[in-house]
Amino acid sequence: MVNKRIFLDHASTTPVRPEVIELISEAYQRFIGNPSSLHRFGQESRRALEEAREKIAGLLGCHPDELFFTSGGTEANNMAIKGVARALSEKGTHLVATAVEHHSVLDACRSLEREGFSISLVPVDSYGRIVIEAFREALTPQTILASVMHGQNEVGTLEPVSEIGEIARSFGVPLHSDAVQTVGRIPVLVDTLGVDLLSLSSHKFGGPKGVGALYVRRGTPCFPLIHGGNQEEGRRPGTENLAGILGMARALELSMLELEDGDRRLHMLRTRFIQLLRESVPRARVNGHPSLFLQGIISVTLPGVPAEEVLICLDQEGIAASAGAACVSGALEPSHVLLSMGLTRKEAEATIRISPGKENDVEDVEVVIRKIRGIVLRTGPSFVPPP
Amino acid sequence: MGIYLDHAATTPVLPEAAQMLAEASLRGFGNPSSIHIRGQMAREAMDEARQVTAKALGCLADEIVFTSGGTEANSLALIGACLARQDSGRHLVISAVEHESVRNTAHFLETLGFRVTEIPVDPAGLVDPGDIARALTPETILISVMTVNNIIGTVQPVTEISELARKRKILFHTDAVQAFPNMLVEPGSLGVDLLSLSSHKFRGPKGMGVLYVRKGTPLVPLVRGGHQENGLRAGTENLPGIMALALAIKRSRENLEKAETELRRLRNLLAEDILANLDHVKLNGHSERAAPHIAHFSVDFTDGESLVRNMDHEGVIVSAGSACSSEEGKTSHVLEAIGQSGPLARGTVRFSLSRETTEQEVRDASAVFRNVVVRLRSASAAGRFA
Repeated sequence: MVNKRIFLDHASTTPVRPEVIELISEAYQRFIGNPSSLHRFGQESRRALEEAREKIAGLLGCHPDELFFTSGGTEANNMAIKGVARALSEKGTHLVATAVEHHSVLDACRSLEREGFSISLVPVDSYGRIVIEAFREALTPQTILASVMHGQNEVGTLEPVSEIGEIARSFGVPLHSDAVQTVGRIPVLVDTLGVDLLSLSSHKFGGPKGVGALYVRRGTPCFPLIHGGNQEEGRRPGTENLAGILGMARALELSMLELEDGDRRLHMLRTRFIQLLRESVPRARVNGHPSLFLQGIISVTLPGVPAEEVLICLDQEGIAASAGAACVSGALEPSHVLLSMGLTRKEAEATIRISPGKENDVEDVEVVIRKIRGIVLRTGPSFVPPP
Repeated sequence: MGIYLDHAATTPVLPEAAQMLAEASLRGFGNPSSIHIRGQMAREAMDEARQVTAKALGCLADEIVFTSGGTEANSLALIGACLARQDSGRHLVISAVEHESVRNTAHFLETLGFRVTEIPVDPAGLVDPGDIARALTPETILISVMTVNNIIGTVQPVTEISELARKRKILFHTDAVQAFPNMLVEPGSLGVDLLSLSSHKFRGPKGMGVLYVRKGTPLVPLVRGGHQENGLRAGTENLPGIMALALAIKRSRENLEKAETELRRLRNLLAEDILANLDHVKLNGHSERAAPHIAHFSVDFTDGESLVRNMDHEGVIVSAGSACSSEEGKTSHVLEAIGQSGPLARGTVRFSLSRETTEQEVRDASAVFRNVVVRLRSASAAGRFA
């Protein structure tokens, strides 16, 4: 039997918007020149590139010259962490991040340990939210960078970035925020958040893969990660992926236009999902903050039911969900995020992430709940009430 | 639309590849790292693209690392190899005419405590393998010499240098961004450990590149945070881009030998036509070891920027040098290395052809060039004597 395929893994990646694909295809025909070339073909490309930069800068509330295009969120995070650390290494060699950062932030920090830097990971509470006092205590006169993500990718908790920003500022420490999960999903304004650096990734909001950006506040020192020509003011060399950048700009623009409607729809889907889940699997637990969360990320622990089994069964039914971050799935390591929140190893291994998006409807939610209930029934029927 | 002769800067995306990219994006594979079926489909498509790419280069699929471009490939090769081998020594050798992405990466490595030796070139832009041999020390861990120079098109003696490197157990990287698709590039027969390619130079999409990493070559990743690309390059894979790259590389490899011969014929025709009709013009680069697609000239009594703009005005797109450094307004390090500096290096122009270039286009471009040079020279002479 062929089921309708249901994609509930938008935190991992989103389908590219058809309008964006069309724009990219047009761009390949229209913009032939290298934006760095002096001739007309090059200058046309350059203008389109700068328009895209202005558009995105407008949506983030920053200056166009504070925005550097990268090959994605991972590169943006690597560039922010390594770039600032290396640029400020004479001032100090200590970095602070939360324990629940994405691997691209954590691994970038760890690789710096070999260059003589030290890292403090600030604990989170049981909701996955950074403990603000612990953050304050982690700062030392040696601290040169703090990195606190905006929306947690596995449990959806929103971190108090603006509060952290104020503290960081009072200590004179630049703050980076990995906003890969929030840009295009909720309003993200760099000044409201009070950040000095911010990473975003195009394929999380209906844009093409292989494109992202790093915001770097004017005056914030940041060395390049990749070295070469003068593109992006020498801070991110390499011939620009113009078509991809135009696609990202359009995708972000469209996402922001649909933000309110989209948020309302996702809220409705989420509420329905959790309500049905409570009814059909009462022992299931929803992780993350009860009020400060991203609508599109639902982390569910099904005690006693291995996540891997659930995901494979769902997959066979044509439903895509995830155990946590796609970037580590297959690694079979229990999530560092869930463990940091105080879940046991067993609980962490029984946790799945459902992330609905734009094209999902209530029926999708109902189908997935029925399937989850079936799987739980097979695994531990005594806990499930009769329908 | 005019005559586009700036293929060394970038090439138009192959319509077939653009279409594949659009279709793959529409199909929406999912994230190759996800365990669900869509993730698996994505992984299968990735594997296929990797195999196609490997076949075009005559190497193994797991020797291919997809990057965000030639610049990242070069940065990864140099930084990755040096950090991986730093316990054996901290000295690297590059040529004086490398692309900025190799040169500036080497300078960055100096700030990390590595020592860099730049090997000079002769007036034709050629590196002498003997000079490299003399620069090697027991501390040397990496040599990086480009396959084809991006400004003047000189083809470097990569096989000779790789033999040298192998004997001394030194890693050897070559930036082959300008070589492919205009010449056969096979890391195996070149004998290199690391080789960089850029997709948009062979009609693939921009924002994509390839680093060939010979099996067993130690490398530390540059971008971290996931196990993608064998742990050598983290980040959700740009699958549609990779599929389009694979198609473009496959098409480029088809009939490459024949295309190279024709390309060379047209390039020589262009050079002869220009030299026969204009005085005080010099063809730069090496007379025998010349890339089939690049013709770079020094034109006395003119400046490169005026040449480019005036030719553009007449519908012929060429470049004054490399696009990557075109905004600097200073003499290119390549021209300095071949002994052309100051006013002499000002009037330079690079024509770069592709296998789609026709004989008629070459003849027309040459005629436009002749007119523009004559006009600019008389204007500047008039200015001088006014």
